[in-house]
Amino acid sequence: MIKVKNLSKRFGGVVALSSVTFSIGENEHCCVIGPNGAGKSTFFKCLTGQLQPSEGDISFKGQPINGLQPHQIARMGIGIKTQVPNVFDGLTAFENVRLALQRVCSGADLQSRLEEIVSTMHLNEVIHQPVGKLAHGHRQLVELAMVVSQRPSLILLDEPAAGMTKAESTRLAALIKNLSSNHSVIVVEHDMQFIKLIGGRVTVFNRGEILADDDVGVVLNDRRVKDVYLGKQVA
Amino acid sequence: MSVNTGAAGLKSLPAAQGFMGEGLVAGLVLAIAAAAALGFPFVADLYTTINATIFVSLCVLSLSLGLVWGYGGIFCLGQAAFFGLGGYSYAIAAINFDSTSMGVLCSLGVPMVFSAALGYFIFWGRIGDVYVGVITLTVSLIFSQLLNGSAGDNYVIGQVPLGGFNGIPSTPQLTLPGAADALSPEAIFGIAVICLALAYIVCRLFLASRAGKVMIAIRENETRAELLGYDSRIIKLITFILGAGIAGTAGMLFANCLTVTPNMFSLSNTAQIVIWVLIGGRGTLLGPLLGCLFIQLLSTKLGTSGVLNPELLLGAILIFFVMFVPSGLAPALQDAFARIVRRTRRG
Repeated sequence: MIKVKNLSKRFGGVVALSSVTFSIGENEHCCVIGPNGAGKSTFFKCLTGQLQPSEGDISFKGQPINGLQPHQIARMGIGIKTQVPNVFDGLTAFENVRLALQRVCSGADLQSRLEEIVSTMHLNEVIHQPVGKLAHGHRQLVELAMVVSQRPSLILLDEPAAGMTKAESTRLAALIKNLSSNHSVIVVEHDMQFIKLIGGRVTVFNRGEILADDDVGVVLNDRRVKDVYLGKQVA
Repeated sequence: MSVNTGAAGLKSLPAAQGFMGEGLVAGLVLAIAAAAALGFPFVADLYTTINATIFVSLCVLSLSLGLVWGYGGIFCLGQAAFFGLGGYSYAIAAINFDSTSMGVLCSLGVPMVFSAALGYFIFWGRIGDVYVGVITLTVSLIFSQLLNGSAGDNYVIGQVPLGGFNGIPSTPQLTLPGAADALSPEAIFGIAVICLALAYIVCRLFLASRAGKVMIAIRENETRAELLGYDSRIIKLITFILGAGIAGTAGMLFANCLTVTPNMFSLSNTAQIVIWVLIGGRGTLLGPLLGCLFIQLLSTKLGTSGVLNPELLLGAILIFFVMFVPSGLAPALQDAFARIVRRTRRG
């Protein structure tokens, strides 16, 4: 699905990513963890064209995407939910989701997909409220609904559970697992309980490099990961 | 997506809006415009009719910035440049081709082509909001300086001397295609009102279109719009060109009432358009029209009475609105009306 080879990103003298090599196949999911400043968000920004890599190659479905604009990459089938909810604050939740959908469908198809996604994301109660006035958790869900509604092949989720209640994050974890049966999903998250709920593969970033990349059980018991990120008390 | 959904009990969602409602609004606006165009000259003298035509042309100009800034979020200080280009293009083409129809076409085409070229560099260069304002203001001032210094025999386009500070005084009045006689001031007023109605309808139709909705989304959050697969550069360019065309039309109407001079490009003119939109209310189409009429009527009244310095009072009004009515006149009136309706229903 997506292959990243020797990806580096420098901001002046600061190295945010250093020779990162990563890949994910069709309908796979993977969690990305790491301390603040490890390069996780920079990695996502490079994948979506918001930042251009200093070095390295990124290919999606066999096509190189280096140098493409964010809208071109989105049209190829990469959707992203960013760390801070990136929504249209002045518009209602309904208008937000409809805007996402109107690029990929129209008419009755748009209406049915809109109703489906609103129901899936449990947005019924807030659908006609301006998104700028919604609670953080609802804003997260609206953005997720916008991304998922376009049915991208690869979904990038940057801290999707931040600001959610335990019940909401449990429901979200189930949704992400469900999504990965039809989409490739990469999730950046700090909440270890949430990551355990999702399960599967975990990639650990540290100082712009990949420190570990394995099954969640193996990674959480990795001494290096405990030292740099989890702390020795978490086993 | 393979997620199970229970659509039962889902709060009903409005279907995607079409152009049916817009058609009704367009018909209503045109009917009001036609009634005003036919009726006003009967109740007004010649001086008032010409003055009203100038006000209508300025309303068209305010509408252009209402669209570009209010809805598109593009802080363009170049509407005066497109207004001036429209006026000059009309005058130059009408005299050179001996046809005001050609002048009308050029007043629309020249600002649009120029804005397309300027907009390409601005939007494809990913220039930030504040710098868009700086660049477009600079363009207006360059035109102003250039035309102010265009006196003398060296500055002639075809058979039209640009006239420097004095501009082009002998601009032909509009004629019907194929007719030789110029239209009366009353007929020109009617055409101006119809132009305003058409500009309003074009704006509404654009806002109701998919591109219009994306334009508003880009104003709200350009990054998100791009990440959803929308090319913000193209939508911004279309908005910019549309705004320039409307401003050019305003310039053509203005040229039918007053002499075309470099003052059309001036800094004060640029600032005035921004003030109309600020006071009237951004994010509405009616607001800029109200703002323009309110300010222009007040300026004219104060200017003729000589009681108070108009610029001093306008400055005070601007400060008042920025501090106490930041959303502008139209949204404030809309809110007040909604409150009254709610109270009436409760009572």
